[in-house]
Amino acid sequence: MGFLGYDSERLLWLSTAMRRTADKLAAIHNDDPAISASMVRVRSAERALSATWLPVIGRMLSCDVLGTEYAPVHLDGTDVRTAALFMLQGYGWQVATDPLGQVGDGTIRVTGAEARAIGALLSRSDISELIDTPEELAWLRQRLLVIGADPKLAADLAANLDTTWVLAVLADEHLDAAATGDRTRATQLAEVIAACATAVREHETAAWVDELIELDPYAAALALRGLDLHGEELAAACDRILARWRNPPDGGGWPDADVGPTYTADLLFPLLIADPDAATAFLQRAAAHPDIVFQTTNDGVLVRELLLVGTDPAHVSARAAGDIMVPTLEWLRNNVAWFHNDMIGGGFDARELLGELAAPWLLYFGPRVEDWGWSITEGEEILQFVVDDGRALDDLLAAMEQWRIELLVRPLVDADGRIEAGWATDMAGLFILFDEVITKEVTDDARAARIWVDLLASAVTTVGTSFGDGAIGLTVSATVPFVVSQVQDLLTDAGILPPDADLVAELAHAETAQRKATTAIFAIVALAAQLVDSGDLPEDALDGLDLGNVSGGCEARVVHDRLQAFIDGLRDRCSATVYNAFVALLSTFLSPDAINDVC
Amino acid sequence: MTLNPADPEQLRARARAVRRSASALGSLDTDGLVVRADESTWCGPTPQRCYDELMALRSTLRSTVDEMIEVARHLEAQADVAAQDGGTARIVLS
Repeated sequence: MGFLGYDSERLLWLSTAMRRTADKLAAIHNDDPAISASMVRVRSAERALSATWLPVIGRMLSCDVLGTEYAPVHLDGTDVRTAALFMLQGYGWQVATDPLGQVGDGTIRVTGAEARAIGALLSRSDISELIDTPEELAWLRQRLLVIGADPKLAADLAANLDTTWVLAVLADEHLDAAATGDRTRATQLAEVIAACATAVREHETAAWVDELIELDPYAAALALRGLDLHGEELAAACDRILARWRNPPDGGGWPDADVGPTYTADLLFPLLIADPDAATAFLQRAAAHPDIVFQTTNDGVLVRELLLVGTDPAHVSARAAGDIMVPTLEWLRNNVAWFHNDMIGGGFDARELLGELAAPWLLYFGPRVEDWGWSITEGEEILQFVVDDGRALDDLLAAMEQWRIELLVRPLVDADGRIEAGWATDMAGLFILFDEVITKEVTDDARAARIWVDLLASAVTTVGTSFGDGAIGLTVSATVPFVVSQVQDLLTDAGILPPDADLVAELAHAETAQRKATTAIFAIVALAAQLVDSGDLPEDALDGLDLGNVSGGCEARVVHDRLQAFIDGLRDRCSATVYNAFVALLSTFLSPDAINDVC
Repeated sequence: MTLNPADPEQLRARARAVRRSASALGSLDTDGLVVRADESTWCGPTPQRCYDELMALRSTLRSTVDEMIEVARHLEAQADVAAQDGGTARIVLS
């Protein structure tokens, strides 16, 4: 059983008008067969008024408490679904039971009066009593969605709604529901809050957003989800809300921080993750206070996604990434040791996230370190901090495939045989960086060797690919065992490796200087072998490589000179492209700087 | 009354009667009725159904008035033809 309300005086006017109309209809007589169908409709209209609606109105106006389906009632204003009738009752309207509908019947049209009544009732009553059942919440959400879709109704709602206060109270209700494990109610309340914010957003001033952000951050976050903000606007709002969350004005704590387990950041981060531009803009702002990223939630998955989306090379420039990564990593290096399990942010290990974060930008920790405003030492130290975590190192290495692909699509030597100097510099720098940082961390010999072999294979493959016509046809997976095998034989034949030595293990255990020399030999020999195999070099080309007795002087320098002599000897026997590829590869693995470092 | 479709005077008389009915129907203040039944008077499931039915009733009566006027025109045209043809012509009403 539902309810209806009426203004007795106006209902009497309606009754009078209806009676007058019915009488006039009854007075119309015409038995001409040409209009018989029309007269049927006239009679039908008359019956609808006199036999249906006039008796209904008559029963209401009779105020008969007993014996009628329209029994007078008095609403107490504790059910939001009767908001409109409750308010009208206050203006002197009569309320009665209505057999035609149920309380909360969603098919009843939302009127301007109802929109105003909902706004007023929510703003002045005990909200928890108004919406204490799932049915009331579902009804309110549905009503708010209808109101939000109609500018006039939305204006009616906004006119009577104390938006900021209502959202704050609804957020408290949400928090209570979440804290007591009532997920259904929490979800319903979150939807109501979003629908409410959506409904009034067009009718509130820009200052309202500022006011909203000054709310309890949890309430602000819930409301923000209904405002449909994007990009910079969303980023700025999230930054302000979370900064406020971290720094309560009175020095106390916010309700969600006390009860959890869902915090303000848990509501905001998904919005940012869904909007990459906003994620980047937010992280740029958060760079000034990275605690709003790492110490506002215990959900490491959310933080990881936010960081990866916000620094994704697919849409973020190196400069923008640097604006985020540099301060964020420096802050973490100084603060992460102070994180502990019983603080918000202690629910995950931020260091574990850094491998994936750093992988796409590895060059900026070494060869391009100046682009991010670091010195070489600072870049190394920060990367050292990153790989100090075993999980981060694993992720960094697992993500190397992405970096390898980047190298593969950037030719070392162009079609005219010109060397891409930046590539060689980057590669050389990367190897130095690995030598300085990563190998210090990797205590597992097999894994260390694997890193080196993979890097070498990448370099050689990249050089081969740079010929452009596919003559070499290398792939990383096919190259690694092939190259290892060929180089093993050649180095053994030259007496550099003892018989039956494990080349990979030798590389892993070698001192820095020796490793640089060996890897350079590895790369040059591997490339030469490939080119011989493909017909780009004569079959006897490798005969010109003299690797005997390299112990006189600094081994790296001697090897460099031998390799340079080998390459020079090929100059007249191969194309300019091939020659330049060798020069670039040698420069990559044994650059003058690298030799000076170790000799 | 026996209808004679060839009698111009009878046809005109029928047309006048139909026009009077249409006029009476058209003079009803159905707009006022609908306005009086809106949310400023009452609201709820029953009032909404009443309002919806009155809206439909208003639309029906308007179209009924138009139909009646059209019938009257046909009758008048039929009378004109009957008068010209001496009562032999006939217009079939659709």
